[in-house]
Amino acid sequence: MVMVATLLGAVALFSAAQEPSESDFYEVIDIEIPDNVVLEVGGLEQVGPETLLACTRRGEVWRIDDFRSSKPEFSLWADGLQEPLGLLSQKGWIYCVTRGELMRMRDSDDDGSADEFRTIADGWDISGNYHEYNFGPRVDLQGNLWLTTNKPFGGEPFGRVEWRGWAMKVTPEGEMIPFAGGLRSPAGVEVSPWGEPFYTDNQGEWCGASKLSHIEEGDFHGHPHGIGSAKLPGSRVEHPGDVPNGIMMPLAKDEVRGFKLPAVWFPYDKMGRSPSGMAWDTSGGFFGPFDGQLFVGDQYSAELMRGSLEEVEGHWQGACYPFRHGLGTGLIRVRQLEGGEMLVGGSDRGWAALGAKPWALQRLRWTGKVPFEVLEMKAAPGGFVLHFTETIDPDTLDNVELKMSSYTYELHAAYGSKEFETENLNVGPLQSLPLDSKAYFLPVKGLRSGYVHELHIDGVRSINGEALLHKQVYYTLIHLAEAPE
Amino acid sequence: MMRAWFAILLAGSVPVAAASQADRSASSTAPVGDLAEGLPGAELLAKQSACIACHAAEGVAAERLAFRIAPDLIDIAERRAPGWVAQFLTADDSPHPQVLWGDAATRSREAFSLAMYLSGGVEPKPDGIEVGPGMGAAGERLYNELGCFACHEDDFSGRDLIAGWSIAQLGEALEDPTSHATLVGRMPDMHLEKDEALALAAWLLRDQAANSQSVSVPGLKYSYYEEEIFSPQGVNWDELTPVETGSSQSVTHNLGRRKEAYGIVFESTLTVPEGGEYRFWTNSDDGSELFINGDRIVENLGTHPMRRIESDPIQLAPGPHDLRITFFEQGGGEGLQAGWSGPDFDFREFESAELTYVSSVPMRVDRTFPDPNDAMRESGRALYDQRNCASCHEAGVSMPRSVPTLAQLRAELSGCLSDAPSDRAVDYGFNVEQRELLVDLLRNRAELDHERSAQDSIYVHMNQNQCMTCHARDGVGEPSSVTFTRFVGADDLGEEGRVPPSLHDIGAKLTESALEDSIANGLEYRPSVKARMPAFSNVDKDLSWQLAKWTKSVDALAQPASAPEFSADAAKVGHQLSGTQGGLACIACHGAGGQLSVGVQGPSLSDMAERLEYDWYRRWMANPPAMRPGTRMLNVFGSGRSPIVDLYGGDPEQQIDAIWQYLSLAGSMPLPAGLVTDRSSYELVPVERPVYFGTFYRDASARVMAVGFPERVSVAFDMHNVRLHEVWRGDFMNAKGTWDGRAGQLEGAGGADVLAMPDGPAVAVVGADGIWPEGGKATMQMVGHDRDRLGHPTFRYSLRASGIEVAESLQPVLAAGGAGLVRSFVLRAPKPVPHAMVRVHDGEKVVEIPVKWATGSDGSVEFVVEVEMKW
Repeated sequence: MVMVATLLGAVALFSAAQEPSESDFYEVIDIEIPDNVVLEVGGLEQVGPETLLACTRRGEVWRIDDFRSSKPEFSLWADGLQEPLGLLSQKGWIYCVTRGELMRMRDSDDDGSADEFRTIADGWDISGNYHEYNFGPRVDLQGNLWLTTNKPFGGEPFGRVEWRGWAMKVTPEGEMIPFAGGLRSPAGVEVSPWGEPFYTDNQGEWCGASKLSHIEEGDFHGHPHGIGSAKLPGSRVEHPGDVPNGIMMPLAKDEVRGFKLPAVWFPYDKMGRSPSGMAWDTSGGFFGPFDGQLFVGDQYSAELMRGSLEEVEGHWQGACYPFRHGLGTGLIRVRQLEGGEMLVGGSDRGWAALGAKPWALQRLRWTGKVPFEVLEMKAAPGGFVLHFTETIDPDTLDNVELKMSSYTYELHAAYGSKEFETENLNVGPLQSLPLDSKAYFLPVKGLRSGYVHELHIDGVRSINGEALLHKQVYYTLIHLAEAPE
Repeated sequence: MMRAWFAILLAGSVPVAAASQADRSASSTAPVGDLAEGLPGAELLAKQSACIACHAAEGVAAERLAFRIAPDLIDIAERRAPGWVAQFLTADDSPHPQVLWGDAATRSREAFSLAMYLSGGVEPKPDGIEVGPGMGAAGERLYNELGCFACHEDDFSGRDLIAGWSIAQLGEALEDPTSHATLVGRMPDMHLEKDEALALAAWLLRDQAANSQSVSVPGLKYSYYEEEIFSPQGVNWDELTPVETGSSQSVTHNLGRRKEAYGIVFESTLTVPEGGEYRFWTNSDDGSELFINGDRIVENLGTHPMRRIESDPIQLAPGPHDLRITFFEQGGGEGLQAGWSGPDFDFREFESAELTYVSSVPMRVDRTFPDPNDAMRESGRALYDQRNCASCHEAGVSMPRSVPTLAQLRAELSGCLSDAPSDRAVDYGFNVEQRELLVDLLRNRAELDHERSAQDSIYVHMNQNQCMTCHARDGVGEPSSVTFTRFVGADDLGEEGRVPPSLHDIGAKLTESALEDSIANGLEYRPSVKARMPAFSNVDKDLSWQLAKWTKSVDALAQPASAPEFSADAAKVGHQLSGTQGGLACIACHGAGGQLSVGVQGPSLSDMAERLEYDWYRRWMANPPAMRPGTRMLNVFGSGRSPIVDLYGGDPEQQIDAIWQYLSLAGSMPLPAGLVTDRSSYELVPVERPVYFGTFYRDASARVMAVGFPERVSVAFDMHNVRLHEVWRGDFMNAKGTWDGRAGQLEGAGGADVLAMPDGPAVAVVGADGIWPEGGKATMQMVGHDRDRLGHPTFRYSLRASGIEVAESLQPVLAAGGAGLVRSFVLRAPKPVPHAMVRVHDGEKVVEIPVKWATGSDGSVEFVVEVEMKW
């Protein structure tokens, strides 16, 4: 694999003058996993300058020392956790959500393995269904822990149970607050740098397209499976009543009590299939030009995707962009390392993935070269503003090829939704803006709120003569931007 | 040598040497070799020659000279073509030279008549079987590895004896010798898997490849592909190059050589029994399609978990139809099934008999044979009677009065023992020494009326059953030098890793049950030796216990030392000594508990105590080279002092005994430190520390923490119901249901001796009604657990209403017959809680213990109790 990557790299450099390649800008480095370790990564945490912890779907926690060396040292730090899918290091403890509990553990005698395991919250149950995963925890600025519970899919040998498909807030005192409901398969949960919890969900029943959503108190995210628990004490969600089977998403907002539209939809097969772990780039530029943006892994397509968010009319919304393909396996977890590299890991067990390996742990390193990319697409009155990583060569501005279509999804019980009400929109031309040489206004006729706006852009070159590395952007326009008064 | 000579004999022999007439004349001057002097050698010869088949004997003599009945010929027609029966009788390597008389033409005529009579001129059905690529090579490798050459020394080269068999028939007979009349009671069971037996047959009958014919055979042809990506919406298979092609008896994904990214295309002819409506289905993960006569009937493409799609009904005429099934597995779980439903049957999978394809198949070469005719059949029947064939081939047939009984025979070189046997006497081709040996037997025949000595019985039975072709024993025999050099195994273990063990003092070494098990069932203890010990129970059901008894009586020491009483402390020392942490590192060469050693593979530690006599073990350990010069076993105590000086002061005797104590735990022994288990397998094997495993658990809850201790005792703690659910001994658990694919299966105890705990929680406050509360998450809170230095757990939980906090620890305790557990409870409460009880199982019964609170200095109260569980 290493050799293949090198060869591809060489080919890419050879033709860089014409078509740039992702690997020119972001290098993938394998962390070598010993033969006797089955590292089906569920959670990752950096616990020292050269030390990682990785928990696995088999319930083990591995300590990985010298992870940047060619021969990292793996040692078993804990075992027996029930399908842990996230790790968090905090105040001398390692926090983890397993199927049955939010717990924490530590190595109190410093002998290299955990010896103290403490339950923090276990207010939900498990029916014994494989699909009942839990994700998290992540911590917010007040010290609250956030986790999400998956809904079952198939047999339930111990009967129907409560609180499946929920986002939970657990206070520093250990109180579990069922904060939002209607989640389906919320494989990633993360708190933004400004302190707001977000989660990713996988398309399926009652979830027409994979999405990134903001978690706010009382939200109903669309899946009715576990919403019955809203009637139990402690719930912060009002029961939405019967959910209509077959209603366009923009209408559901008005028809279904508490219904929450996403921040970003990931159109199926255009932007992966199964978004999972995510991390904001808070490195201040050490991971390239995308400081402050979001990076989302995909468990099917073995790619890392990019996202940008903005708050419009009190709703977080934004765009997703292709970023880096060809990773080792289906990604489950993404973490940013000290120094800015992105750490990705995962496993293809149970779900087909495009990566070649059954499990993998890799680092993504910025090579120092800035790709020519749409840095950010933002809503603007009458269109969008496109920020690029470089100024467009003015000689190529007239050659720009622009295409835009918009579509939405249906809320329904069947698995996944096709794109509905697709329209091709009249866009362009790009207009330079006075204050920012890398920003351009993109006029659009017929913007619709509650629709994905899919942009294809090509034909321009950067001032350095480079072609765009990626040519698609998908903006989920929930609210139109109003002109300032 | 001896065996080559025996092989020409009638009864009890195996088809081995090409003993032509020319060979026999040569052998008449050859020395007898190591055939024993006196009675035992003569007895063996008389048994092998089936003397008493004709010369009736009585009483003990009849038992001593008993011979093995030759194959039953009643159904020979079903298994052998008559041309081959005739060939068998006349061939140069026939074991029957004495049956036919006269010149070549006469012998040939007699053979044809006998064959006509025996088989009625009926040809058995041809039963061709496909020989895959590499099967012959695999057969040749097996022949050499298993040690077939020890009995069949010339590899059947240049001989006709088995040429009349088909490959399928020989394969079946080798797989189960009792299923075939020619081998039953003669060929021991080599424990061959079906594919091993077929590979051997394909190699032994490789000449039949020249006679391949195109025939329709059951099953499907398949092409196997490996690609990075299979287009989920349909693969253009014609553009791809298969990695492998072959045939399969069923539609299955199991032909995949890897777990991800492979494809299979099956092709076959489906025979439709009657005209009517049929529906087809596939069930696959990931995509599949099914075509009938080129039309796609089922489309089940895409990447998905197991998904079943059924076709609409289609009208099919009776007779053959082309079937094609495509399948690809991109990633994740995998599976493929396919089948149909018809006018008379519901949905089911295809059966292999419904599917056929045309293949080139090696077939038996037929021998010309006259058309059936009564005259010939009649003359064959007369010959069968005249040559007394029945006396060997049919049990309980007595000879005509005219043949002298054993008692009536004269002790002289006449009759069969004459220079040139004639008339009714049979020419066995005995040489001078052999004839004189048999005359001696007659001269001393009175001795045959007494029971044979154990020593002589060992000689006779070991030789009769060809034990000596593989094993050496003083005064009994040994493998030939050719055989000896052909055995294969681990070269770095020397002869011990390659050659079946010598049996010189086997009665002193092995326990009686180990000896019996070995002989009857072919149990083996040396993983490196490739030669396979066959099971003799199907040849002679009494052989195992008789040989065990005889060797024990002959080899046993007068006053063997007896094993020490079991002591758990000594066993712990033995455990340490066998591992790498401050021990002798036995595991460098010996595995344990089903796990391989870390180096070369010697016998497993887990089998030793059940297999070895303590006295032998003790002498062996003290100085292995003294007992077996050249052994690779380390002589760690040879200097009179152990290299591990901090245990028993390095005293060899005490350390050897401690290791014995540890070995005596056998199947329940904790594995020695340093053993490396296969972490990529699903079997959970605790070695140096306990293994923890969180899982869905049968009859408990979806939140169970199972703990397996290296002492081979395990517990399952139900964290949902806040109680110890059950404990057991032996294997811990297999995690496949939790770790394979999407998993989510309920797991359960992997071992034996499962002891269920009483219902409800172990600690409770019992109300006035005396009813033990249900406990569980509603009234109790899981607090967590701790793992101590050895990794042993203390589970912590509390009772919400009373505020009692419980710390429940579990510690394994070594014991003879398998470890037990000590379960201890520490209860704390802010103030005394009345009516608090602890309820446990001590292995024999449920025990209820009232809590007696002791008040501490801060006013809080505490109660401590410890229960040893033995079951």
